[in-house]
Amino acid sequence: MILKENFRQGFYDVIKRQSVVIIVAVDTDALCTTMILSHLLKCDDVPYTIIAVDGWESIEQSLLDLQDQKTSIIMINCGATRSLSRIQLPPAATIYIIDSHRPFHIENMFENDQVNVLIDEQELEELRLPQPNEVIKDESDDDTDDDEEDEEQESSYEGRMEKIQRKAIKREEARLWERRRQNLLWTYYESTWNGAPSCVRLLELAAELNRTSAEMMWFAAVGLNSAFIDRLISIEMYTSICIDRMRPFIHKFSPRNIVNQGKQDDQLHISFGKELPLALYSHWDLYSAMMIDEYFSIKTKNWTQRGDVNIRHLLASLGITLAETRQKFEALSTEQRNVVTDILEKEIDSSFATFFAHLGYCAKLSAADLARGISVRMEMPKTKKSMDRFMCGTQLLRSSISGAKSHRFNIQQTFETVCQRTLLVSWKTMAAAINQSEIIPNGPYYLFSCTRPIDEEMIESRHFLYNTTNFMLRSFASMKKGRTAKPLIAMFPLTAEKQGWLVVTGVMPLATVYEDSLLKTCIGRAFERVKKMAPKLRITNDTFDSDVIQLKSEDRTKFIDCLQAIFEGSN
Amino acid sequence: MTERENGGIADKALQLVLEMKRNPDILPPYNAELVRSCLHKIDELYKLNADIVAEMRAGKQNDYSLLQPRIVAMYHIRRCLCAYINARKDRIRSFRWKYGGALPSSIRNALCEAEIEFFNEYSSTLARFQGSLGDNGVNLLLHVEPPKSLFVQVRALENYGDFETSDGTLVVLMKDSLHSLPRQDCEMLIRQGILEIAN
Repeated sequence: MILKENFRQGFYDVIKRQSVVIIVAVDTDALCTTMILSHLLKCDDVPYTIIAVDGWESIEQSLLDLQDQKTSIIMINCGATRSLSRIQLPPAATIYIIDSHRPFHIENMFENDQVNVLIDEQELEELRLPQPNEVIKDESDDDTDDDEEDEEQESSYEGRMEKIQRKAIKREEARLWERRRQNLLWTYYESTWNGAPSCVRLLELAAELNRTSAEMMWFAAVGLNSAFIDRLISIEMYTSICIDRMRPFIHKFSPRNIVNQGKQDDQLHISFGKELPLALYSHWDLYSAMMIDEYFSIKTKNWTQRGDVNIRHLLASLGITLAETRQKFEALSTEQRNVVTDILEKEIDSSFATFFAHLGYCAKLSAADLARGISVRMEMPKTKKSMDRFMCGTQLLRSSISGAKSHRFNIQQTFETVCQRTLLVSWKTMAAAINQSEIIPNGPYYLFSCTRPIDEEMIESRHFLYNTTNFMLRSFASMKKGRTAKPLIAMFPLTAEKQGWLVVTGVMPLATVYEDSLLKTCIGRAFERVKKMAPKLRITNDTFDSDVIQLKSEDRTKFIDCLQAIFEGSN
Repeated sequence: MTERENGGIADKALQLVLEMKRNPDILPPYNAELVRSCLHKIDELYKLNADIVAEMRAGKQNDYSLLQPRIVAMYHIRRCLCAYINARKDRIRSFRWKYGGALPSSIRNALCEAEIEFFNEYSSTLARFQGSLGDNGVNLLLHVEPPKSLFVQVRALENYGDFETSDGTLVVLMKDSLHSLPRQDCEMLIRQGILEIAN
């Protein structure tokens, strides 16, 4: 069923009557959503249970354990893309899905009354849902048909002929209907994308309940930024959400006048403003931050031998001294910092704006940086239990709104160790791929097959995969003209326990990325079709993102061939 | 006249009280010397009064205008001593809650014999009281601070299965799931090591 409006009465007031089970995917947006939701439930003294899941298998497992539950089960950022009817659901429970993955599975929306999918009304159009009667078979019709048959067995010859004709017509109709249904479903499921982050939806719900606070807005801001830095939503969509949906909260929680701010130094307040799209630069030195940044990296082609010289040229022409870029950004004087940021802002000319948390005398913290930190912490290493990673993320998010020194240290630590390393590995992978021309055109797509083992922990992280492959395709396209029309498929070998498996993912051609503000991708669909075409291939796709799969390395060549056939067929 | 040279009559007693007041965080060693001199002072004052009364009884003419002030002074000194002992008692009692039955030696050295005895007696009284509550007794030391909310966030450490809270909600405690449950319900499970308080 679709729940499209009045979430307060239709969703929240219903779930708060009894205890609640929250099944949450381990990603930053889901974490932020859970934080907001659990806060709401805490206010109402509703007992709740949180279960962190990594993939479909763990969902099924936890639902099996919950068979006797009569409560509401809320699934956050998971569960909408596959039919839940095929999973054994607790019979007495009601399930609510808040998911940012699109498109939703038809059966979840129309067939299963136990499952409620929360959708924003404005978004319904974007979804291009088929009409329910066009895709769902009305079973009652068939039944009456059968009954008639039994009764009229004894009728005359003409009667029987007529009956047979009627049946033939009906069968023909059914076949036509079936074909139309297939076509409709085909277009409906053709591409996958990500909608607005769930946490924004929940923040609006909290506002309906009059329970917003600066902390909750901060959670939503981090969730929103995480969707952007994970490249799930485009900058246009990000900006429009900031402007349309976050505006009332920005007005409420970011006091304009400084006088007011001085009075409440130890309280959290949030500001919204322009920010350089450089990752982590305020916790790093500018040189490193620029080196791994997509814009500067491509502009200076810093993976080549002349890269370093190019960067110096660029810096010189911008009027930034090397000394300024080599030292820690934090250590620069305020005026210097402002001058440098101004110059870079003019140079990059991006419309990126983000949220900052101000807390007492701590340095301001940007939501984009924090989202990066949380994503990295939550997605790796996958060998850790999902709940441990989830708790790690929770702690980091809590640290960001508390001024305690140990908490600040925790954030700093995350940025300086894991985060920066991830960014560097991402850049190195890209540089190596281009320098050694490992990206090869393979018919309708480019193929990158990584031969060196990359850090095991990172490969399984969606954040790393999406960022690296996107970066790779962009820099690859920048080397020569006319490389914007083909998608890139990337394969990374896994090591250790999963030796012999490959992680496969893909990015849509750049040309479509420029056109489409939803960042739709059909890669996941193509992988599914490969699986259907050659069922013998050992492919596992347990994650909630259909465009990240694991493939047995012996099946690699076969997979590549199948994929080629499919892309050629669809083009 | 001697009193004026030494300052006020009750100065020493006041010093004891100030000693406690100036060290709010630690327990200063028991000042036996000052206490003794305070007691002496009371004795001395009493003696002076007793002599005057005896002389009055004997019918000798005497100046008895000092009788009343001396009595007030004695009371005042006594009060200061009581305050000193009371403040120390309170602090010692709080140590029982802070450190449990065994005192660190730094604190133990600051106590006098009687105080150590008091501490031990207090510990055993507390233990007896705890033992008398309920069937198995309650460890009051576990919950010294009032809870901020009725609910507490806990994490299940093992598969426990169904658990019914006092208001009848059924919760499935699976390994590695987070729960927000009424505090009083899950305390038992926390002690058994099935749940763990998260954050």
